[in-house]
This record gives sequence, structure tokens and C-alpha cells, in this order.
Amino acid sequence: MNPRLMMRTLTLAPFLLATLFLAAAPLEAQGRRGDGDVRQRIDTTFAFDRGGEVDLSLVSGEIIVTGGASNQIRIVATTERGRLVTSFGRTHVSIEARSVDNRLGDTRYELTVPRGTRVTAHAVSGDIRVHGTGAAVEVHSVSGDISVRDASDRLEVGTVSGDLTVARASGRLQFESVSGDMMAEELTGDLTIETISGEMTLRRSTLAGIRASSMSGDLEYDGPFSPTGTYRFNSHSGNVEFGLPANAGATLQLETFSGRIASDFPLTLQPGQTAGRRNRRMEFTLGTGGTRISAETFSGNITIRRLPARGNQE
Amino acid sequence: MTHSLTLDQSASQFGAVPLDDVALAAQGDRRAFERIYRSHVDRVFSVCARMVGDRARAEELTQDVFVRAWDKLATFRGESQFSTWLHRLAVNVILNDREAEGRRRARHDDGVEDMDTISYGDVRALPVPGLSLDLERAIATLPPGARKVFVLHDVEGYTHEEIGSMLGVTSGGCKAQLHRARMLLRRMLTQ
Amino acid sequence: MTRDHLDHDVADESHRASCAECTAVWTELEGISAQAARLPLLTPSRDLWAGIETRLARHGMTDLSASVAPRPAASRWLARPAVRLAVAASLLVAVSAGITWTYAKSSAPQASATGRSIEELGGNRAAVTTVVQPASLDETVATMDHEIAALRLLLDERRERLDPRTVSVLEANMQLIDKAIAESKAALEADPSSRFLAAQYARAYASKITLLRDVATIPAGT
Repeated sequence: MNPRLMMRTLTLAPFLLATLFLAAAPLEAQGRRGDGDVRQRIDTTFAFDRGGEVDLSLVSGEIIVTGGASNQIRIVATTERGRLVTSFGRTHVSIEARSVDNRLGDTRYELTVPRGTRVTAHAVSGDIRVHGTGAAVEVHSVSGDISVRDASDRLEVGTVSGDLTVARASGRLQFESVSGDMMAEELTGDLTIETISGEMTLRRSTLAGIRASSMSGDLEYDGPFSPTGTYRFNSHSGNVEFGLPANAGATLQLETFSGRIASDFPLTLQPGQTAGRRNRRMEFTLGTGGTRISAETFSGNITIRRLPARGNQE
Repeated sequence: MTHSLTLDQSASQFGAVPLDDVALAAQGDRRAFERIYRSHVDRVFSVCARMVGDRARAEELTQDVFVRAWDKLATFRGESQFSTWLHRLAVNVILNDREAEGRRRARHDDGVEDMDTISYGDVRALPVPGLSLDLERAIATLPPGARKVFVLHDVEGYTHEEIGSMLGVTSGGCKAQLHRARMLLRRMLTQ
Repeated sequence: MTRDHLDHDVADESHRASCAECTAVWTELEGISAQAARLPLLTPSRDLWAGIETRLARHGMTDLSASVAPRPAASRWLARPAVRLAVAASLLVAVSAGITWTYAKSSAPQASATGRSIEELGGNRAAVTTVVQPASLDETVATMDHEIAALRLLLDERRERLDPRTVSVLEANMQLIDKAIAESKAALEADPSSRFLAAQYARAYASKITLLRDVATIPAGT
């Protein structure tokens, strides 16, 4: 049986008769939809193209998407109250939880998708986990926690107060939080990361460029830095700390109003620069230059650690 | 600070309503309001039909829009063209209608949009392999989020920022949705 | 070429400069967009006026001009979120340029006085040169404060629809930003020629507007 037809049958079984009357019938003649108090569940599996997309949104609950080797998609979606509005196709799946009579209960989506599937997921207080899809991911949650592993091409994550954990992502990366902490490792590509008060920790990443911005959150990056990359760290009161290998070639611009600058590398002020009580600004070059790093804070401290020399900085 | 913003990109293609009709209707003159209706119904219906992908529901929504416009007429003070004001009101009604959906008598195909079927118009048909969809039908088969963004941006001319604030997404997310919509349409139109 | 590659790279202008295939796809997408803009108006299958009139009759013939009190000018303007948000975004560029321009004017003129802010906030030079006007800092700040007040009203309107814990997180972070603004401002007043401090001050203001703008687009909870 055509898998799409089978899938439609599973999800539309209660409405199969209704689908025969598709002409614009007088609205008064149509029956009421199912009671909004009934728990709704969808459980279906069908063929799904690699490179397809899923678009999921709910208010509270959980979204879990896992990439796998199969060329089928498995969808299990439940909602305690409210209604799931779905669109299922071979290249695109969307599921949205909508309130009925202004009520929407806990909702859960668990999907297994072919690797290469692009995922978009939005939640208000739901947690979101997207692992192993190996393709573009876009995830936003207001207060839920977000975990993404193994995304590529593009990763866009936003949260207000949830925590963000990312491992193995490449391409164009964009992380934003208001107060949620962000912890990421094994990133490659270009990263823009912004927070007001969350902590930002980036480990074991080879990023070609970073734009990091914070009000009070601390930023920690342990490199490495690309010889041709540009890295900008800015915060108001958050501390900025990064590590450079002993044989690094970099041009550094550091400036802080009242923060402390501490470095394992000798800092020599350029002629004409001042290190008075106000505005401490330093520009200096390590090795033969190359990497451009700027770190600016109002009152946060700037700390540069010396890491063991690397054979190849890239 | 003088920075001009093109907020009225949704300006209509037809003539403005005589402002005295708006003033008259605001005072309860239903004849004047009917003239307003006749001048604007196609415009309102077009955005409803394309946003929801369903003509019958769009007709209901069009009526909702005009009823709401009647209620709100007194608040129109001429800061923009009347057509712009009405258009925005229509978009609000369409977007807010999602909340009320559960209370409506349900349509069997409410929200269920199988990518392989054409739900636009009165007839649902499975596509014949190799048949090209024209753009109007292709838009109707887009997933809801992508369709709304595409209609608001490419058909109706709102900016990403405006759409972002209407739909509750970032303008970056909106751009991504738009690109996705266009790529999907391209795929459908060249099959 | 995989679809993923196409989707990602087609939208990337710098990639298209060297990829004929993606350029071709992009041209097709532009064609679709142009076609969409030319779509004709649609007409309902029937005259909807009768149904509308019936519902209006149920509303009763009210003299609307008397029953709805006119709102004051400021709040009518505020009633359009898209206006506020778009203005806030444009102010980010305008304001920071205004600040540095003002301070550069008061000290020795510097060729790249506005260059840094443009770079910092990603604005473009064309936008800056059209909006920078001889404005005192007070005027610039007043404009920003007015915008922030407008956005705050929007937050107030939405407050009840948001989770209280989220509201409290937003309020706490707003206070944090306000503190940063106050500190930067005080430092800048003591050292008006500092472009660095001007940029920090502008950045703090921009954070506030950005946060408020994001609040406006947070989806409501149940």
C-alpha cells in the first residue's frame, strides 16, 4: 500500500467519511470535531526523503528528534489536551499543538528521522533535543532546555532562560540566550553567540570566527584560533577568558574600562598607549600576527592563558 | 532622527476609499460601510485565502474581518491609508483565528495538508505524476508556517521585521522560512 | 550536489558569486517571488455582504464615534508593534552613530569617528549618514528612552500571557542592563572623548532594545 496513503488512513481514520465531502458544503452541516479533552496520539511510520524537513512546535512538553540510518520517519506525538495539527509528506512533516477551548496540555513529540533531515523546533516551556540529524537545525525555546548534537550547515538556537548544550556542530552557528547558560564543544565554522547574563563556555572547537557578546555572563573559549580568523569578544561586566598556544601568531586588541587584564604572555604597550586609571587599551602582536582577536569589556576581566604550543594552529 | 521606514508596503493596488465613507461608517452608516466592503473585499479575501489555503474558510474569515473592522472603525485616525489599516486587521484576524479553531465547527481537512494533495479550491485531487502545479495551488500546499511567511512577504509585501512581530518569530527565522518556502515552491513548480 | 548543499549555498551571496548552479537556482527563486507579487486578486465564490450585514445587525446600530473614546496620540502609535520594532532596530544604528558623532564633534574631529560604531553594530554607512544629525546627547537618549518606553508598554500588554517565571527572568535581566547603561553613562560623562566608552554605552542601550524587542515576539504560554 502506498505508505503515504497508509499514513493518511492512520491519522484520518475518524474523518475518512468526511473526506468524501470536500466541496464547499454549508458549514452548518458539518459535525463537531473531537472533544478537546481527549488525549490525542499519533503513531506512524513512513518513507521519508533524506534532506527532508520537519517543523515542530508545542507549548509545554518535550521534543525529541533523533537521526538514524533508516530512510523512514517514525513519529510518535501525543498531547494531553488540545489538538495536533499535522502535515505529513514525503519531504516535509509539520506538527503543531494548538489549544482547544483555550486549553493545551503537555505535549510530546518523539521522531526518528533519516540522517540529513533538517529540523525546526519551537517550544515555550518544553525541552528540545535534536541529536544525530547531521543537517541544519533551528531550535527556540523560552524556558525549556535545548540539547543539539551533530548538526551541520546551519545551527540557530535561541532561549530565554533555558540552558543550551551543543556538541559537534558545523557551519553557520548562532546561539542566543537571555539568562540561559550555553555550553558547546566541537564546533567548527562561524559562531555568533550572545547572552545577557548566561555563561558561555566553548571547548575543543575550531571556529573560523567568533562574535561573542554578553552583559554580565562570562565567556570562556579554549581555542584553537584560525590563523586567518577574526574573533571579537565583548562584554559589560562578564569576564572574558581565552587560551592561545605558546607559538600563536595573533594580533590582539584588548580594552577595558575598569576590568583587569591578565595574561600569561608578556604585554607590552605600544607607543602612545596608556594604562592609566581609566581606559586600559592595549594592542600587541604575538609571533607573526595573523589571527585577529579583540576583547573589550567595561568592567569584566580579560584573561589570556598560554596553552601548550600546537604543531598546526588550524 | 529621520529614518523613514516603509511600513506601508502592503498598500493596495486599488484606489483609496473616500475618507468620508470611513467617517460615515464610523458613525454607523451601514451603506457607507457596504461601499467600503465592496471596494476592499477582494483584497481581504485574497490574503485570507492564500494564508489559510482554503477558500471556504477564507470566506468565513473575510466576513470576520469586516465585522471586526466595523467594531474598530472609530479607532482609525488616518495615520496610514485605510487599506493598509484594514489589511493589517485582516492579518491579525487570520493569525488569531488559530486560537479559535477548536471552537469552530471543524472542517475535515482542518490543518491536515498532505503534501501530495491539492487542497486549494473546492476539489481535492491527488496530483498526477509529472503535472506542474501553478503557483497559486503550490502556495496552498505549503506547510502552514512557510505559507504564512511566503504570503505575507512575497505576495503581500510585509518586511521580515513586521512578519516576525506578527508571527512571533525572529526575523532571522522568518527569512529562513521564506527561503524554505521558495525552495519548496520551486520544487513543486518544476516537477 | 545534495539538496542540503543547495539550500544552504543558494541563499549565500558570496557562494553564488562562484557557483553558476546556485546562481541559477537563486534566479528561479527570485522569479517565483516576482510572480507571487503579481498574483491577481481573488474573488469569493459568493457575495459575503449579506452574512456580514446580518452580524452587524446583531451588533446593533451603535454610534461608534461616541462609544469609543479616542486614545491619546502616543498610545495609538504604540498600538502598532511592527512600527515600534522596526523603529527600534533602526535606532540601534542611528543612536550609536549619534552618540559617537556627538562626542567626536566635541573633541578633535576624527575621520573614523562613526566607523567603529558601524562595525560594532553591523549597520551600514549609508544608513548612518542619513540619520546622523547634530543632536545633543540628551536628545539622542530621549529618543531612545521614548522607544524603550514604547516597548515596555508592549511588554506590559503581554505580561499576563507570559509565564511569570519568564517575566521575572526578563525583568531581572532588564535591571542588569539598566545598571550597565548607568555605569557606561557615568564613565562616558567623565571621559566624553572615549569612543570605546561611547560604543559600550551604545551597546548596552542596544541590548535593552533588543531584549524588549525579543519579548514582544516571545510566544505566549498556555
